[in-house]
Amino acid sequence: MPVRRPRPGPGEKPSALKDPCDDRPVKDVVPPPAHLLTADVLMDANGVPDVDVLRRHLDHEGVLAQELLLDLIKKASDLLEQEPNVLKLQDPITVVGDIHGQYFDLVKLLEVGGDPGEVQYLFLGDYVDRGSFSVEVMALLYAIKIKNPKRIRMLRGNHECRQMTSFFNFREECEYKYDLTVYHAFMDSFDMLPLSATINGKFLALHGGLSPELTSLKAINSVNRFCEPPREGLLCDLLWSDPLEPKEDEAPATKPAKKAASVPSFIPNDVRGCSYFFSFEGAAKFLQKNSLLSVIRAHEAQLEGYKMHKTNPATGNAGTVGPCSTRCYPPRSSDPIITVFSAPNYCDVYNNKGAVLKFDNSSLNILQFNCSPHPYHLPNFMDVFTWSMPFVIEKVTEMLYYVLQTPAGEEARDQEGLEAMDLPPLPTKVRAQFSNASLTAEEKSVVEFASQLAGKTRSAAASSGSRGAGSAEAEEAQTPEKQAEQADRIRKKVRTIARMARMMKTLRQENETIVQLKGICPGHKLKPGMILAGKDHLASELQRFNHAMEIDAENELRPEGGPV
Amino acid sequence: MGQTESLSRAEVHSLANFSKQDIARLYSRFRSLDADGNGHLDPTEILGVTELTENPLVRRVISVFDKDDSGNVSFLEFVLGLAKFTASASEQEKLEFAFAIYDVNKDGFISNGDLFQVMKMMVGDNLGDVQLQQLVDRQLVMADRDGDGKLSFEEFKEAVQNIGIAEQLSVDIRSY
Repeated sequence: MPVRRPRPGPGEKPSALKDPCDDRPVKDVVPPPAHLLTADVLMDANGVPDVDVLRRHLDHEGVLAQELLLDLIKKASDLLEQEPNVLKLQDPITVVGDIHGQYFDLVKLLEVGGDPGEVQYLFLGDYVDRGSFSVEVMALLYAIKIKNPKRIRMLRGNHECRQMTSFFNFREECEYKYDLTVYHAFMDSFDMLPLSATINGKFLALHGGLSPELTSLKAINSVNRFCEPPREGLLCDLLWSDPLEPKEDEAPATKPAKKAASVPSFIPNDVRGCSYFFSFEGAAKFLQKNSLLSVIRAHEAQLEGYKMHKTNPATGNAGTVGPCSTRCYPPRSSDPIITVFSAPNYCDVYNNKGAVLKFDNSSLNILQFNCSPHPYHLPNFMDVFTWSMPFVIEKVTEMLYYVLQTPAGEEARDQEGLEAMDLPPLPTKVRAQFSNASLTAEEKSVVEFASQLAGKTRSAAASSGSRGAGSAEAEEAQTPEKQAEQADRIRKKVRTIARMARMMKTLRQENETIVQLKGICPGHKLKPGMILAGKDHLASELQRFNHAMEIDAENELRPEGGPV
Repeated sequence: MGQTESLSRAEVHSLANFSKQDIARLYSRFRSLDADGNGHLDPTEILGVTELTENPLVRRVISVFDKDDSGNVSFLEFVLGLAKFTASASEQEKLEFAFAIYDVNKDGFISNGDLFQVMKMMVGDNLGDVQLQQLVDRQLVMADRDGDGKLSFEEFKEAVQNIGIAEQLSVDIRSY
């Protein structure tokens, strides 16, 4: 639905949703802005946005005037287009992994990582999809990019493309909050995002990982990045590949260790359905050849928000460092691959921490942070009318069904030939109401009949003993065939209502399951039933994380074909 | 309610949606529901139907049927209320009924409190009040074209049309 919110007057700040009847029940919830944010409030004379004003507006799900959002996208896009495929950066710098539409966690992240007006940031991509606030994430990131072009650096992730955003929910979110013009503008800007960065010439940072086609950094610079990423090749691999993990059932204790030399550098990535797994050996060769220490990448959810993939001396395979309780770790030259993931409690179900990496004075610190509360959305941006209408229809039709259902034994009386009853004559005033209503003679007689019965019920209060009078002789006037036919017709009507009530019941029950998840956003390709099933008996955070990984595994796969 | 209930032109047409047999049958049902035989249905008489004790919207429907706010449903109110559910009732009538379900205080607008109350009846304890308030606020901001903080029938109609609710509401119950 395109934005239809009113604009404030020129130079006026957007005001909050009004409460004219003073009956808004939960006053603790800050009412959202009812007006659009406009350029004359956000931008200074040089067209540079005030990041604090924007953040305060977005914090309560405020919407921007469309031309203002398009202007932010255009300005950021022009800056990104000027940047090379491989950025050359120096510390101090804060490196950020996947954000995935978790705007309220991004706000927290910027508090933890340092004021973007003072601190250098490198974002590794996957800003959008899965969460419900991707537009807010992009608006804020592009605004801080425009404000600090040299200090804020953004790389492309595998979700920053038409195919993934159509399959997941960013396209839908753009259409819900703005329209397709905004979506297409974002897609064109994603084509401008650089692919990688070096830090101090020693760390290579990118979203996914290495590629068999990546022999030197020069190879990356020769890629034409201004396009929708293909399904194979260097551009695809940089955004999609993963480090090879030892499988649990191949632990050294149960199986003889493979010789290090037998591990190929790259094997096809069946988890993603495209690109490769790169082995520790593959990474080591590449790093050595290019005089690099580590690959810094994102792309995979981590329980602790980060993972140091390092050599396991016993097997020669990659291994992992167990979860630690302290927040900072010194870097080791033996950590050739580091994953960072910055979306805490990913998809509201993973129970993971978020983390950012701080490089300073050639040392590496890891800052972890927990998830922040976010406003509740129904899955797929369903609004309350859409959610509640099946409920209303079901409960109302159910009520009518039981009100109209004739109890056994009462059916005979249904067939009363009430025309034969002694009904009071209609006053001429009432009769005059029908005469100019352009009815057929038959319709007129129905209305008269109903009005006469209404008069009868009103007098019933005075003579409540007369119920059912006259029904006996009327019943005799009807042939048995006619009675059967009428009874059948009424039964059919009642059945129809019952069937409709059942249909609505199914819909309503589905919608109820949705709210049972309380704040979880499962509509974005996570099935509510699977999340609820067996969740209670999962005691530890690790178990819950693994359960979430398991049910969400299919979403790691690259969808078939092009954008929808 | 007085001795004569005057009918609007639209109500006369609503009544004409029924056949004489329908009216006769509804009269029969009305009288058997009217347990104390006082000529109108009190909420307790309808809630007395065993299957309806758990139905959270019964009081809302009674309130919508009860056009003159007398606290009970007369025979004409009963028939006119039911007329909105016949196949020949217009889409407009069905939308008006749906709107009336949400307009708890019957002031012709869905206010923040109206929408919250009706949603609360349906979600029960599945959502917290904060989550519900967020959903309600968002719906109002989305649909409130004139920025007065409440939804008129026209604003409601537009909101439900944009999301295809009109089709759901105008299901022709005879076609099933």
